[in-house]
Amino acid sequence: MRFKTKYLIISCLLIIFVVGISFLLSKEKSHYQIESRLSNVLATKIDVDNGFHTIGWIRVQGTNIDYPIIRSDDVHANFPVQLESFSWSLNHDDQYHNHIILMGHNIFNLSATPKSHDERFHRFEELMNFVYYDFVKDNQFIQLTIDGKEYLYRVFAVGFLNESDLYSLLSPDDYSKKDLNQYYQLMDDINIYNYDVDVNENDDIITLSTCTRLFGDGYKTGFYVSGRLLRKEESTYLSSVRKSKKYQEVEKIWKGDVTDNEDYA
Amino acid sequence: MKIMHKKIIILLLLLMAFIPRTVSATIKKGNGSETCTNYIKDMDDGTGFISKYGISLQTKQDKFVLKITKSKMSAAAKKEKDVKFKIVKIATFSQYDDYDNPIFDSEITSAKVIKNDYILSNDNALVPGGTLNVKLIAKPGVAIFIEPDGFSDSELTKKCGSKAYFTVLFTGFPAEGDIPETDDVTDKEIKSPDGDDISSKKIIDCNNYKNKGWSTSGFNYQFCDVKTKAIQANGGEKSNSVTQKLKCDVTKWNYTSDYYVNKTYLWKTKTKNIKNEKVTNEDGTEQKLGNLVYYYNYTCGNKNGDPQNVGSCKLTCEEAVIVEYGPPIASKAGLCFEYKVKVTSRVSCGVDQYPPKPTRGKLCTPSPQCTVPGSGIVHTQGGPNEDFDACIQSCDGGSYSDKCSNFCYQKVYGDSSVKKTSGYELNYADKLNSVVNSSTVEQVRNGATTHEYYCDSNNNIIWNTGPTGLSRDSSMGRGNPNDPRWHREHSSWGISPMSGYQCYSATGIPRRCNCGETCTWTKGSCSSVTKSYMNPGEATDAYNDNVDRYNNYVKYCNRAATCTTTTATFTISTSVGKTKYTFPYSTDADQLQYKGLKTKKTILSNKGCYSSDDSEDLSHEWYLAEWSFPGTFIHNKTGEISYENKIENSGWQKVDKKFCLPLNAPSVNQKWWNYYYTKESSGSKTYSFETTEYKDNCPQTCRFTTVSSIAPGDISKWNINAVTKKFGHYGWNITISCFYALNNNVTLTTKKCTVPECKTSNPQAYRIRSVDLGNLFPNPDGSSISNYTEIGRAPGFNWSSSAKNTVKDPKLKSNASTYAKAVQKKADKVYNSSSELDYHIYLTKDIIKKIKSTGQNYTSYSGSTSITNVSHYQSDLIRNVIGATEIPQPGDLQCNNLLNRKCSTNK
Repeated sequence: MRFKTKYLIISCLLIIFVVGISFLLSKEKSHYQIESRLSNVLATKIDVDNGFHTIGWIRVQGTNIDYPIIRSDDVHANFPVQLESFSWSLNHDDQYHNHIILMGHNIFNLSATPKSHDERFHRFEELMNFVYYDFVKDNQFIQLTIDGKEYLYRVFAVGFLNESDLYSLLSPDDYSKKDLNQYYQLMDDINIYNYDVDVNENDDIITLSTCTRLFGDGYKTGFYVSGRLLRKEESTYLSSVRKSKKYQEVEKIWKGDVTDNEDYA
Repeated sequence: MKIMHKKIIILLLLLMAFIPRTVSATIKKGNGSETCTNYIKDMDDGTGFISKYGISLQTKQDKFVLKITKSKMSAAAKKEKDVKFKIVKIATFSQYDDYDNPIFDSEITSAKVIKNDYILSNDNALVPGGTLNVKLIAKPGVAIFIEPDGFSDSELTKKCGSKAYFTVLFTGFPAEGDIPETDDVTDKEIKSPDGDDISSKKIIDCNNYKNKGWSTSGFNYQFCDVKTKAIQANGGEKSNSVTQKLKCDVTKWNYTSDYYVNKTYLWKTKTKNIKNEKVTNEDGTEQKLGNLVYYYNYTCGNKNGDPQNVGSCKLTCEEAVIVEYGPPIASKAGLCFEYKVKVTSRVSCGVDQYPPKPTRGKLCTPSPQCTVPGSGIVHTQGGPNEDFDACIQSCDGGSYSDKCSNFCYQKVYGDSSVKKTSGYELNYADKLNSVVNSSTVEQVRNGATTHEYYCDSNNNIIWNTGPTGLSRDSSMGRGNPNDPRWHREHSSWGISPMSGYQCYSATGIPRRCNCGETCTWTKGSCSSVTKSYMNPGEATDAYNDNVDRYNNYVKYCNRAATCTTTTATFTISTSVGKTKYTFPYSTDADQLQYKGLKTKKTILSNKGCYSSDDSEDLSHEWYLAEWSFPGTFIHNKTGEISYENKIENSGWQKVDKKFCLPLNAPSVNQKWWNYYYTKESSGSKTYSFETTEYKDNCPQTCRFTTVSSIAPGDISKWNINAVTKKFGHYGWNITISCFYALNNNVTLTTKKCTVPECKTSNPQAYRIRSVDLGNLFPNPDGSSISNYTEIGRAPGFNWSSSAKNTVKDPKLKSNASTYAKAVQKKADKVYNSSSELDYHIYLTKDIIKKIKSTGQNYTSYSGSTSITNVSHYQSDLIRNVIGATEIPQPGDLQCNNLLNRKCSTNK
């Protein structure tokens, strides 16, 4: 008995060791490979004649979003939907800031059940993939190229907001600690997932946004994906992620039992 | 694997290097090729064209020179080796229309291109790359129309979008009549001492004017002549200083037709900005002209407009001045002399640089901008517009199915084909352009003035739809807040009201009213926000106003060479002994102000800008002033001199314009006096001082000393000084110094002469003696002369031939030397002939009574006196009271020896 007990203890310890090693190994495994887009930025000229200029590049893991970022000094400029394969910056200049806000059009993926892929998707349509739990478990990184440097962000929030609420995020370009805490609170409120990602007021963040009609054509809703800049020595391991309570709102749509979407109105 | 990839990439790059590149469309025609856009763009802007092809424009006195200099061409232009241009036509103009375009008077032919030194060929082709010198005649403006050679009008219009004229405009020609009809004028270079050619010092050979039959007294010839001589006298170097001190030539005194034996030529040039010129306001006040300022009413609430300072004109003026003044004077005590000075200025000005012409402001149709409270910034959302959503709604009830999405995309955005991120041009600004071109908007803009944007009292942009045009008010206007004008104007949306939506965003993204957004009109969508108008009419009005400002300003540029407003002053002064007499004049009064002696003729000539008659002659600014002494009063009986006003006919008689020396005037400048007489006596055997008798009887020290040469340093006192200050355009300050000479002793020594007739002191103490008419001047020993042709002792000055030579008065009819001999010849026989009788008076009791009844005595003057240098008196008593039966003719009174009461040959 004592032998069995001893054996059992040893076995448990061995299992724990193996599991721990495996866990640690999985932590150190690279799940995103940065591919430089510096030359792409330099080579891309989008509609320069109309005041647009390329300031950077955006890649979103698991999607076809591998587009230049353009910007206009005219804050009222319109970024035509016919123009494909680009995103635009809502920041006020071409520089890197601790909060980068990018937007892209969604024209062909506006249904309540967004598609993961379609040959017509040349904008931010595939950003809608983050609405699916299986997707977010394996795709958690956003690569930004700007100012001659490459930045990698880890997704920590996905959610829906009223379109007009976007404007509350736009200023200033460089968030104060207070701004960041308010932003984290907002994201926490709308996050349809619970990412095991630590964020604090010293982090840099990125927000990607597009349009959705997931809740119906009468509801002009924005879809948001937020990431936190990888910290020093932080590897590209996959964070654990779970559905949050907010995810049930989406599932209700899919189940067809949505009668009141006032939360998104 | 990675290495292989790199190799493939390198190979591809190498292959790409051999792929022919696509170039922009070019027009190939005639003798060369030229990208259309290159020169058309420049031609739209004359300045750019001129700069690109190294064209320089120079204004000359009588012409304009157009040069195309290869070294000054831009790098791009130099590459266009085969480009040719040709002169299409040349036309004159004298005014501009409301749009600042010249109104051409007439077209002149290429025959008027009077000079083509280098490359201008018979067919008027211009080839950039050399130097082209075109000289033209026209007035007052000329335009040269140049266009690319080798293209038809239709080709130019088709390829380049417009007719490709390049127009060179010239203005500021001299007035008609001042330039030759034809011109072979050649430039003559004046070299600086170091041999460098300086273009600005090029002058014209003035003889060309004369050869063409032009008047040498005309403005252009005179200006050219004076300028040329001034530059030559100045060594071809800089223009003269405005302060000049001049002295007369001590060796010149003979003059026949031209009194002014001394002439000095001066020239000055200066470039100035006319913004500092004073202009007179309507209320008569003066102010500086300042820079030309255009006003563009871009900004809401800025009632005074947005000023734009665009600079001023640069004006180069040249002033050529000739100073003319008389020779020195040899005089005697008691005699009068005149000394005249004349300064003449001619000014020519040309505008080097005009201010830029106004441009039409850009048009920026305001667009609606909607903001959500707290956001502050509006951006397009990342989705379709309301048309797309509406289409989906009608298609599948809002499910956004693939089929309906494709359908609606095609319907709303017009093209489902993929447009990659390059070469795509549609954007918000293009939408505005389409609106501008739509008939709906044209209806609005060309309609009633109420269809326009305006600024309210809070500087908010408001759209006023007015009573017609768009039937419903705009949300940004004065009415229904739910119908933005933008939606109604968009060509794809038509003009029917959109239904189903309560609010619209500016960019077409539907918004809900309950989101609290507010909308305003903004010009923010335009690339040039700060310089654009909201309404076409505003742009036109402001442009027209600025054109008026330009035209008014250019008038000042063109007439900046007007007469100076500065009062010039003139003085002439001389001295007698240590007493100096100064006589001042000024141009404003034209009166002598010296001790009340006023006369209108003190300034002998006063013309040009100093004369009201020529004040309108703006094209030829010139000045002339000539002045001398005001005059002197002499008492006929006592010989007293006065420079103050005296009552005439009271014994005082005026010697006009002359300065008279008193009888006791001391000697001055004796050396020059002797030099003068030395020169005057040479070759003249009749000169009495040179007679043997004179030499025999007058000691050496009493004779005038022969002086064979003279220099300015020998002049002891420059006692005649004429000064003008602030004269002419540049305000010249010129002092002219000359002198009179007086030698009472007829000697330079102080030793007393032993010969009584050769007086050394008290020259005014003349002697009265009774003489034998047959022996007026006995020999010094008292013996009589042997015959009437002889002159014994040396006669006094007034009996010498020098009296007439010195006085040089054409009215002095008597030659004293000849007269003396004639008197001696007749001797007492003069009493025997009634023909020698001057007066025949019968004194009866009645006549004596009449004489007494007049109350006149010996000193009473009741006749008239005429004074030149020898006075004569015409008595009213003899002529009117006594009733002489024989009496000299009035015109012969000044003759000493009358025959039959008239001047005889032996005067």
